[in-house]
Amino acid sequence: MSEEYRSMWKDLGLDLEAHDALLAALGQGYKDVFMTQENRPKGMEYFDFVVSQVHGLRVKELLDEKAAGRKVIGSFCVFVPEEIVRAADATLVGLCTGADFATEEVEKYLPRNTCALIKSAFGFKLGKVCPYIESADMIVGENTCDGKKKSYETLGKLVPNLYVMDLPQVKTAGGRELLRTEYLRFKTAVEDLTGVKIDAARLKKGIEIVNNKRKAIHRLAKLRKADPAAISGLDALLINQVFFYDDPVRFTNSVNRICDELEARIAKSEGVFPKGAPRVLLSGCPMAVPNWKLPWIIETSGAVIVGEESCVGERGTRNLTEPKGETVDDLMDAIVERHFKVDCAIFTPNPDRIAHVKEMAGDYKADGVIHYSLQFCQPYIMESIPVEKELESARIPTLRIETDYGSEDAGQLKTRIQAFIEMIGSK
Amino acid sequence: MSIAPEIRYRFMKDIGAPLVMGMAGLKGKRKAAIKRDIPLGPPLKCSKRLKEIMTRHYFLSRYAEGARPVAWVTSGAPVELLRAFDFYTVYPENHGALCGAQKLGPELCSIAEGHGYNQDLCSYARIDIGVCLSGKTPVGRLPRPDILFASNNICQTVMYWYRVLAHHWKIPLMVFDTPFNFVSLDRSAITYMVRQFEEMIPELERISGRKFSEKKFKEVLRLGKSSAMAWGEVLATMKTVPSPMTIFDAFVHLAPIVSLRGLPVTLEYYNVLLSELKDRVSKGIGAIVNERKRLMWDNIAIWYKIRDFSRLFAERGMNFVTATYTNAWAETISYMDERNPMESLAKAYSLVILNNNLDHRLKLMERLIKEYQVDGLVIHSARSCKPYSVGQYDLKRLLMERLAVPSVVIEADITDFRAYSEEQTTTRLEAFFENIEDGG
Repeated sequence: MSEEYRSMWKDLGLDLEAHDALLAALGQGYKDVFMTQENRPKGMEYFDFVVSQVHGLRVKELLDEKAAGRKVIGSFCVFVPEEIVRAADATLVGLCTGADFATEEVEKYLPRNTCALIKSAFGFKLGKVCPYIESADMIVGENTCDGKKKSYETLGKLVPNLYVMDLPQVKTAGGRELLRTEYLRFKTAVEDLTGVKIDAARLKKGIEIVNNKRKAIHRLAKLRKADPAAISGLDALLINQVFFYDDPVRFTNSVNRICDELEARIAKSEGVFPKGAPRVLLSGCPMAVPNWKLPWIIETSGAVIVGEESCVGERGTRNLTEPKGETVDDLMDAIVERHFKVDCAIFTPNPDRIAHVKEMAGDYKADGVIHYSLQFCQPYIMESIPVEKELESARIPTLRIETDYGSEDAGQLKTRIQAFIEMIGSK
Repeated sequence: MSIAPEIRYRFMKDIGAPLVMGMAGLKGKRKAAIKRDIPLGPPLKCSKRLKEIMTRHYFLSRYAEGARPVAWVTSGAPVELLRAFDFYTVYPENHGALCGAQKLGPELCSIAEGHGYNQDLCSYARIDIGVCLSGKTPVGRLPRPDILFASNNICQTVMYWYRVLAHHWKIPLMVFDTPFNFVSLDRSAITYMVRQFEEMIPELERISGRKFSEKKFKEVLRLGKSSAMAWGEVLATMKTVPSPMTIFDAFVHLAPIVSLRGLPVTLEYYNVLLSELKDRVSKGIGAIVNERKRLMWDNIAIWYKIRDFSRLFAERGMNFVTATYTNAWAETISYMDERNPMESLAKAYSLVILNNNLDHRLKLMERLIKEYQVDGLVIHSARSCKPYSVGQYDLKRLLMERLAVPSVVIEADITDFRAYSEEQTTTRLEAFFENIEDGG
C-alpha cells in the first residue's frame, strides 16, 4: 500500500501496526480462498481489485466525497434504506463485522457468549482497524436481535455519532406503520446530517440507483441456475459482499459486465465445476467480508453453492422498491413496502422465510441446503430447526451448522460437510 | 367446553387443592425444622403460605384444561388482558426457575438438545421445550394451553421459543411487540402498542368463548397495581439495617407477582408478608445473624445456587438487600391506570428494565445503591439472558467511577449448571470479598 494510504489511515486514527497485520492476514486469506480457484470468470478481476483496495482506494474515495461536502453513513443491516441515503447524495457503507479482532478487549465490554458478528464490530472499533467506522459521519444501528439492541448502547459510548432505528417484530398493519414512522424519522435525520432536503425527485433518483444495483444482482442470481455452474458460490458471495461497499453505479456496471460473460459461458456449457456437481443452497446468518470459511469448505469438498438465503444474498437483495407515485409520501410508502418484505428471523411469525428457502432450493435446483448459524445467534439457531423440519418434509436434505469466525472447527466442519455432500451427490 | 372438566376443576379447587396445600405446608415445616442454618436469622413464617399458594396453583393447573381457557405466558406479557377473560395462566419461566432450583436444568435441557436445540440457547427455553417434548415436570403435569402469549419486552428469545410451542401444539401465538426505549417512549410507539391490544380483544373473545368485560379488566388492573405496590413495599423493608429479608428470600417470594399477578391471592399474600417483615423491623430481627456488609445483585438468580450462596455470603456477614431483578415487578406496574387502561398498560409493560435503555438502568442502580446503603455489587453474567447481560461491563465501570462501589462479575447460567464453574466463581468471589473487606 502506498504511503498516501498510510497517512490517510493515520489521520483516521487507525492503529497502523494492527492494521498492517489485519491487511496481511486478509490478503493471504484472499489468495488462499479465491485465487486458487480455477477457470474464474475474467470479470472477477474487478472484484479482486475492489477487495485489494477495500481499505485503500475505496476509503480514499469516501474521504474525497466528504471533502466535497457529502456524507458517509455506516450501517450493519439491510433494513437501513439506502434509497434515502442516496437521495441525500450521501453514501451508505456496510461496516466491518466478518472477522475476530481484539477479542480480549471486546470481552471487557461484552459477554463472551455474544455472537461473533457483534463482537467483530466492537473488535474493529476497539482495535482501531476499521477505516469505515472512523470515516462515517453517522452510524446506524437497528433493533434486530437482542444482542445488537443492547450492544448499541455500549457502542454509542465508543462512537460519537450513533443513530438507532427501531424495527417492528411482527408483520401486521401496525408493524408496517411503525416501520414507516421509523423511516420518516431516519429521513429527517439524514436531512439534518447532510443539509439536503429530500424531495420526490431526489427520492426517485435514490430508488433508481439502488434498484439498478439490485437488478444486476438478480440477473447474476438467475445465471447461477445453470448446470454446470458458470461462477463459483465463493465468487458470487464476494459480489454480494462488495454490494455493501462499492460505489453503486460502478458496482452495477461491473456486475452486468460479469453477467454478460457468464451468459456467454452458459451458452457454451462452460463451468467452474463439472456438470452434475452437487448443488448446495446456503441459508441463515449473513456472511460479511472476510467470513469465507464455510463456503470455502463446501466448494473445496466438491459441491457448488448456487444461492445464499441470507442478508448478504437474496434475502437482502430480492424485491425492488417500486417507484410508484409522485410524492415523497408515496415513495416513502414504496420503500417501506419493499423493506417490510425482508423475512429476517426477528419476525414472529415468519413463514415467508421458510417458504423462500424452499422456493430457492427448487429454483436453483439445489440438491441440499446447509443452514448456517453463527454461534450464540438465537434468532437463526432457533429458526434453523423449523427450517430443517420443513425442508426435510419436502425431501430436501438439510445440514445445520453452528460456527463462528475461528478456524479451530474447520477440520470438523470439513468432515461433516464432506459426508453431507457425499450423501446428496449419491442421490 | 364440556361440563365434566368444569365439575372436576371446581371439585379440585374446593376440596382437592386445600388438601394438597395442607400437605405441602406440613412438608415445609418438617424441612424447616431440620435445615436450620446458623449464619441465617429465623426463617420467614410466610414461606409456608407461599408454598401452599404455589402448590395449589400448579396442582389446579392440571384440572384447568377443558374447564377454563389456558394460556402459557411470558413473565413480561400484559397478563391483565388475559385475566379479564378468566384465563388460567402458566408461566414457563417460573416453572423453569422451579426446575432450576430443584437442579433439574441439565436433565430437561438435554431433552431439547436431543431434538437439535443448541446448548447456547436460553436454558429456560430449553427446559420448557424439554418439558413439552417429554411431559416431565416436577409439578406432576402442566396443562396443554389454548393459546400462547409472548412479549419481547423481556427478550426476543421468547418469540422463537413460543413459536416452537405454537408449532408443537398447533395453537395460536399472540405476540405483544414492544419497541425498545432508547431515549423516551414516543407517541408512535404507544399507538402501535395500544393498537395491538385492540386487535387482541376479539381474538381473545373467540379463543376463550367469553366476552370482554371492561369492568372486570379494570378490577384486574386495580388488583395488579395494588399487588405490585405491595411487592414494592415488601422490598422496601430491606432498606432497614439489619434487613429483615435477604434477596434470596425475595427471589423465592417473587413467584406470586410473576405468576399470579392480577389475582386477589397475590395482594392478600404480600400484605401478610409485609406485616411479618414490618414486625421483624420493629423488633430489629435481621435475615442474617451478623449483617456487616450490604450487597446488590444484578440479573436473574442462579436458581441452583440459591441455598449455597445464601449461606456463603451470610457466613461472611454479607447480605444482599436489593436486586434489579426483584425490583422489576415493582417498578413499572404502578404506571397502570384504570382511567386510561390500554395506554397505561402499554407504558407499564414497555418501560420494564429489559426494554429500557442503559442510562435508565444505571440511574436505577445508583438509586438502589444509595437507598439501600449498598457496599458492593455482584453481577451475574447469565449465559441464557442477553438483554440482561450485555451492557453489564459498562454498568460495572460507571458505578465504580460514580459511586466507588466495588463489584464482581460471575459467569453462570440461570438453571443449567453445566455452564457454571465452581472454581472460577470461588476465585472471583474471594477476590471480591477481600476487596470489599478492604473498603473497596
